[in-house]
Amino acid sequence: MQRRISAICMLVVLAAALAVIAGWHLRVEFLVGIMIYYVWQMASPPLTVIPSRTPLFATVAAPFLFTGHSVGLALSPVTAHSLEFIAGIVFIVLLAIGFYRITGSKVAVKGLILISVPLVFVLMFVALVVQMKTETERAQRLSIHAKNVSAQGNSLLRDVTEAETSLQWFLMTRNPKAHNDFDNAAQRIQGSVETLKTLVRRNKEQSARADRLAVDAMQELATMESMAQSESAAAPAQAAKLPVERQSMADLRAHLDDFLSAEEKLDASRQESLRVSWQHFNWLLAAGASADVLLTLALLFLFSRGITRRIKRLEDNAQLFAAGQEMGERMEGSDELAHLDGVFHHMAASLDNLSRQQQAVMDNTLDVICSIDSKGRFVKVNQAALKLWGYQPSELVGRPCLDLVVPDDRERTRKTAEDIIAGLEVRDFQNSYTRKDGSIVCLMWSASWSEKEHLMFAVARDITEHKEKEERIRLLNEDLQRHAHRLEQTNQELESFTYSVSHDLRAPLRHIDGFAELLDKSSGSVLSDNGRRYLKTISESARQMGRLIDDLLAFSRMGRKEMLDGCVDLNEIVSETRDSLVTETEGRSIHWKIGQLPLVKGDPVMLRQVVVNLMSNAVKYTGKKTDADIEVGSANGQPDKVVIFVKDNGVGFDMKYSHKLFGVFQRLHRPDEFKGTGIGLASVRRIVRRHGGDAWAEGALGEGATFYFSLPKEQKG
Amino acid sequence: MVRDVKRILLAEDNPNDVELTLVALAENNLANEVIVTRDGEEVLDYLYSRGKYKMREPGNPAVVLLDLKMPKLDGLEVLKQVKSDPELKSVPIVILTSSREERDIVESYALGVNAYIVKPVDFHEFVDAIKELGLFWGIMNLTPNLNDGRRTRG
Repeated sequence: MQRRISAICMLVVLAAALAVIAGWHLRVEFLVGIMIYYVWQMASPPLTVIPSRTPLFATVAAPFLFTGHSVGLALSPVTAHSLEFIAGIVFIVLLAIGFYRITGSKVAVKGLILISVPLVFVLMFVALVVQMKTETERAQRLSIHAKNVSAQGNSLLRDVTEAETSLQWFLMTRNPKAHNDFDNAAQRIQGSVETLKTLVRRNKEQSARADRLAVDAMQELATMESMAQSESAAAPAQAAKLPVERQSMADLRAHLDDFLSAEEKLDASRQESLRVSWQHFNWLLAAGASADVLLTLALLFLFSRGITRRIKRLEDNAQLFAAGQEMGERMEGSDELAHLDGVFHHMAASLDNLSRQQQAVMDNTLDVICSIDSKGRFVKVNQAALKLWGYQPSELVGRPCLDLVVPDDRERTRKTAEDIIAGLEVRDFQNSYTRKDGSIVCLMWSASWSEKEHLMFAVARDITEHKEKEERIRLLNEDLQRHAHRLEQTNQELESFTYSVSHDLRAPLRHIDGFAELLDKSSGSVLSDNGRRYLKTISESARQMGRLIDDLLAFSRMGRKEMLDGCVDLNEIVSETRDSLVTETEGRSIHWKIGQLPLVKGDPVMLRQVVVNLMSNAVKYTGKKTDADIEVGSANGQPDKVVIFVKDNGVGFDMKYSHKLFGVFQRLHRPDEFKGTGIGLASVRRIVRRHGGDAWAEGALGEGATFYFSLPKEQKG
Repeated sequence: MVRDVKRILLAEDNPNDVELTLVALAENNLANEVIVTRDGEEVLDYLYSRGKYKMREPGNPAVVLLDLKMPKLDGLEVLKQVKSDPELKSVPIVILTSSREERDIVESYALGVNAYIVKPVDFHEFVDAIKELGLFWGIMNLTPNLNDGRRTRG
């Protein structure tokens, strides 16, 4: 919007300037235009760093124009004209400068200025020509007018002469015709005088003369009339007076001559003025044309220097940019070309930056990234080659990559390279390279062939450490396997051992018992009581050993067996166990108190063993009591474990021996006190510990005992 | 009805065990006809009526009490052979052994054993067990009568 207003202002001022030059002296409009321009400049924010001085110049030019005009008028209209002309030119130039600055010196604008300056001159010439035409026409008109006046003057003279002649004739002959002629002439004289007066009314001096002529003519006529009227013989005397009258006639003639010559002089001066104007015009034309040519040439020169050359520079820069080379210095100025150049430089900087970043990525990887041509030579290698292989990238370019491969791997590498070129994508090809210092480095390659680039692109990773680790792992694995194998063997040996034990150890025991019985049966009557007792002992011992063997086997097997992981309902197990103990509790009074037991995670068979052991212990060790109280329940234990207890009011135990309770074959009572092998609690502890819990007991001699065991809580969900 | 006590074939290598078993059977009046074989080979010889048992009386025993651990052919091998023979398949075989090993039990049943009994150490229990066996297999249990004409003699 602002620009539109400024454009309108410009045009107005321009029009006014042109008008002034054309001589229309429209100073008011001119002033108004300047004022608008000035106001607009004040109102808008400054568009350039250096404030435009055009308003200043405009206000300077205006008075100059006024002064010029006035001064010029004092000298001559032509000079005034010239000064105005010069001022106008100056002003237009200043306007152009202002416009140029304000619109940011665009190329288009520069072009516009380049065209408009000659255009202005052309307009100016047109104005001049028009003006000259007007002047010439006027001069012509005036010339014709002068001729008219002259003709009229001469006609008047003729008429006066005729009047005189007619009078003389009349006076001499008293011919009425002569009097007629005289009247006519008198009339014509009057008419002429009037006409003359009208013709020269514009010119003050001529008017005055004409008036004087009129007076003279009237006087003369009057005199002549009076002369004509006196009809006497004095006529010849009158006739003789005429030479006296002739003096007034002579005056009239003289005045008429003056008048006519004055008119001629006027005419001549006008012609002279026209001639001068034409001279002026010629001068202006010449000066203007030269100025136009010079200015245009100057502008063209400026344009060429400013635009054409810079375009060439831009073109050069663009080519350099396309070739990836360094561009020239940045262009000065603030127009589109400079802007474009700036953009190019910016693009170059960006690209530079980008390429630097990419190169940084390439050079800062730990893996070697390289390209290899179809002949197996390195084309480009990144910086990692230095760290990895000890060679600078520049040392490797052009070298066959097989050079660095250790001899053993060369054939394999060559074959793989061929495959890659044929199109195979390789991801984990391993070989070894000899570094510059002679040491060996193990590499893992991934590579593929690019048909478009006609190059192989490969990445190599140092796996020396990795390989060492792998080797270590392999050795460890071997170790492990050996151990596992040995364990397996041991287990197997243990199995066969168990097998033997379970089978072969039992048979002799059976025989001992059997034959002891048979002996008792067959010869018992012969034996003494002691003898019989001895036999019984033999049998009993054999049976006991059998039980021991069974228990020991079970205990050992349970340690080696795979543990199942299930959800175990202890309540069910407890009630089933209680039922199964019925045979042992026959005849006895036992008060069972069974609480609600939680669900637990574990091996059902093993946990059953635990419950059975503890509950049968409780039953066994309350055997001496008339009323046995056995309680099974759960206690508040730790947050992540459930605690179950089996409490009895049996014979109890001394707490100072509590650490022995859970030992294998450890008993706190003698076999004749209570039967047992001493393996039950050991089994309990072993099972419970395998489940991640523990077992412990509290008791007091004669007051019963409470056996606890803990298990991990069942994880819900 | 007259109870017909049939033949019991006992396979046991240990002489003590043999004696105890026979005593146990005798106590229960089951020892009428007990054939004692001392190893796996003899068992098969008897069943196939060959070798030293060429001249035996025809007919299959009512039950075979088979020990596992025997020289030459052991119990499982005998079991395998007998149970894979269509003519002898129907002969009830009871494994009578000291071994309580799970794998023996599994293997035996896989091969088609009719019963698996562990010899108790306790003599009384042993006698009871034998009695039950004898009663059940020797008297109560019925087996098909095979045509002895198929057996070749010699």
